[in-house]
Amino acid sequence: MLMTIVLSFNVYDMDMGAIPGEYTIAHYLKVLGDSYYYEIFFRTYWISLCVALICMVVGVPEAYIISKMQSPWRSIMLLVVLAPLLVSVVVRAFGWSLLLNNTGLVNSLFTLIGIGPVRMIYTETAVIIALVHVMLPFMVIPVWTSLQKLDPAVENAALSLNASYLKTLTRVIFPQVMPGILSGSIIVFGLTASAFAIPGLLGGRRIKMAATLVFDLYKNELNWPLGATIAIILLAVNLAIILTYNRFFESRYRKILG
Amino acid sequence: MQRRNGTLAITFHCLVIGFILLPLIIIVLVAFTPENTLSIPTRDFSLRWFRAFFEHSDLPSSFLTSIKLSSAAAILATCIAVPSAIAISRYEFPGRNFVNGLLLSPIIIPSLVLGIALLRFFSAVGGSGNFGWLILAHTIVATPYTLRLIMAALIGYDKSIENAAYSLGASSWTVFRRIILPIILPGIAGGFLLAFINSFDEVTMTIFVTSPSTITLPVRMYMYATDSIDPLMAAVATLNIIFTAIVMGLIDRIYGMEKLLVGKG
Amino acid sequence: MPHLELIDVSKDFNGVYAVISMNLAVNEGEFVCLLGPSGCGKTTTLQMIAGFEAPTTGRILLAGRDITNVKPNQRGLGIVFQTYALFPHMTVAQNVSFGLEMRKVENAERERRVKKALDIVHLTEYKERYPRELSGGQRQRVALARALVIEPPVLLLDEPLSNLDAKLREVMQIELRRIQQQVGITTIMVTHDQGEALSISDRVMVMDKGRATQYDTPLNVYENPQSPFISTFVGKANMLKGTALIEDGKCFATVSGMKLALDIDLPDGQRPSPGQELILSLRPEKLRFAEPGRAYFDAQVKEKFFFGSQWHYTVVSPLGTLMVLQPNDGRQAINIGDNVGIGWGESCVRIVPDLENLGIVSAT
Repeated sequence: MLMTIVLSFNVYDMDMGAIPGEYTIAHYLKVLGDSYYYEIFFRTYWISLCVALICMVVGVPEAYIISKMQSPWRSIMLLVVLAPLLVSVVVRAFGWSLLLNNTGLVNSLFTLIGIGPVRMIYTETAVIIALVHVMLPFMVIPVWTSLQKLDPAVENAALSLNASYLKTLTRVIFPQVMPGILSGSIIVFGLTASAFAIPGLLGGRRIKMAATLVFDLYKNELNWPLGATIAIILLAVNLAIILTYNRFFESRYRKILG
Repeated sequence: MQRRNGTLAITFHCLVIGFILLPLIIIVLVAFTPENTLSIPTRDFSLRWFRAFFEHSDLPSSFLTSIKLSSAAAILATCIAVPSAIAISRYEFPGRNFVNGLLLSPIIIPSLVLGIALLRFFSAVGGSGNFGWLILAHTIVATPYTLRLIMAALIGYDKSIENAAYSLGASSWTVFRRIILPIILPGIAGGFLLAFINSFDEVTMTIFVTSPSTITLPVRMYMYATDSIDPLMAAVATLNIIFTAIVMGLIDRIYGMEKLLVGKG
Repeated sequence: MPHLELIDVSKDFNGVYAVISMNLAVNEGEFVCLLGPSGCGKTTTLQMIAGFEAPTTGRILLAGRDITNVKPNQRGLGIVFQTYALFPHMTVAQNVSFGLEMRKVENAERERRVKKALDIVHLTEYKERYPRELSGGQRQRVALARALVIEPPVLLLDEPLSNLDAKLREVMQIELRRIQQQVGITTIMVTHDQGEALSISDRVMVMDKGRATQYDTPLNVYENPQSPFISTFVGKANMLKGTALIEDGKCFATVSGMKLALDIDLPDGQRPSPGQELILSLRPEKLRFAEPGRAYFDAQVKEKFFFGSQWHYTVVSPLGTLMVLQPNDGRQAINIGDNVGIGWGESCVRIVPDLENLGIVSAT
């Protein structure tokens, strides 16, 4: 209730011009018409997609591997993967800036190998890497939950019916974990699209994402209405993407898994 | 689960773990450098940057601000969550699902949107800059975490022990005080700590509703980091990591980390 | 005066009747079992006696006092729950003393009574343990001690033995009865296990679909079941249909063309009229094998199962397929395909009243 009131304030807000009390949709038109904004939104969603995909590729096998471990390793490793959630985003972003900066560790390694210093910080790559680092736990948790729900006897049943290990993995285990993977991807995608601290610290002036743009508009240019417009568009597009995603995949999987 | 992990799997796993820990390790290392610039101490380890932190004009006060803010928010969140959790999970009342959804909703809304929405709201109510409103904002953010945890704790035990207590002559209040409360206490404590740490780390929303007099540590760090990067930041970050680790240790002691992060894991 | 009485108690949940017109009277010191299949209303009845469910109609009296509207924490009854419901965060001793604390009994007295209760259930050495450190049987005994220590007027047991394995269950049944008699407490137990009900109770109330169908001693319920349902639920029975025949003042039944002698001592009011359709029950253990041609009729053995102390046969006979139970008394077992004679002792064929739709409860 509080939220909806506040958000509705927002809705009216972005329609206001510099003169309070006036409602216009000029800002929407401005955003929709200007390619500068398109570029930023496009970049935002492109990065979100990349991060989601990488998290899938890294997170899913990792969750699976951990689930196969014996305790106490299992609990320890799970903790290690998930604990960064409790460390501030700023700290993590800072850590990456140390690593990826021109005189940072990674570059020192590269120089040693002979690739020479590669410009990484303030590029999209840096932002993506750091975002993957932050979002990985959000992918691992739903996948882990799905894995926990698997009946281990089912895996044994498949093997007893002469399925090879690979077959068991792809035909029996993977489909059952699918809902967890999808759920995780959606979460990662949504969170990345509205990410602020990481693009802010690692993207610098050149790489702007939607959230940092909103911040600029609010704090530096004091153009609240425009900032609000951007935020609402971001929210709306996020919702739209999430809803279609859900609709599409959920109907498929609901039939199978009930 | 039959097959143990093969070497390929273990290697992959180690790479991932390395990836996850690397940024944190590097921060801690750099924090001990005696140099003026960012570098990894190879021979000498120095505490100069830690001293610099304590001598800095703004950073320690931001730390205190964060502690005060997060403690207050966590306490309020817990006070809201305990009765709500009990009401929602035990009683049928009209609007039950609505209240449940409402209290859990802040998790779904991106902190960015929350930030600007609250900013607008506060300035309309004339409260921006006021510490009290900031506490309110953080309480809103923290409550879902506490609520979820306490509700999980409420569901997870055999309800007939309450009937047993009644049959032995206990009043409703006694049942709550001596049976329910001790059993969900780990959940409450865990929820409190989780709320605390989430509020302590919160930056995206906070940066919008903050004012010069109420700058929290993460916000201060962000501002500092956008201007310059030097080992002082590393020292602050290391302190943050240590602080987080302590809180995590507490959570694990009281409630169990695995349960916290994943549910009965 | 009965110690505990239920008068015309019914319970409906949104139009679904769980218990219908239940009348129950239990004497002081008696051990009564509520027996029936899942869904028959026995647990609901117990919940109403305990006060966790309120009857839709009817009254509950304890030693003459109407407790229908008394709250569960003021009835002072001792209850052992199906899941034992021990307080997980308290030791065994603390669990047992909880009820005494609620009654503001003083420390010294409390300790004495707790010790006594734990002695009765043989758990004295475990008093500082926590429930999670105990086995199922031990937890059950703690639950019992906790209920007994408050010296309640009535003890209620909700399927207390169903979570134990078979061997332990047998041992605990005897223990339970021993303790009940030692303490002399009026006890009501709910169970779906008819063997359990028969072996430890003074009287059994058989319930079916919310109604009480027969309330009698175990022996009577077993030997004189008042409905086909009770016949087959309590023990096994060969059910037969026949027609009544009166000859020389004696009762017979014609079943599949054969004439069978019936219970001779039927009082006048219960004698069937000639030609009346009858339902008859013949218990498998009452049937006896003999040489072919030397008994009532011949049959052929179709199946054979070994149960350790008994042999269970199915035979094909002129009366249909019958179950026969024979003790494993050292004699040679009969083989499948053999022809045997089937006979039985006097008064072994029972008439079963077909009273499916009437609730019967005999008076105290």
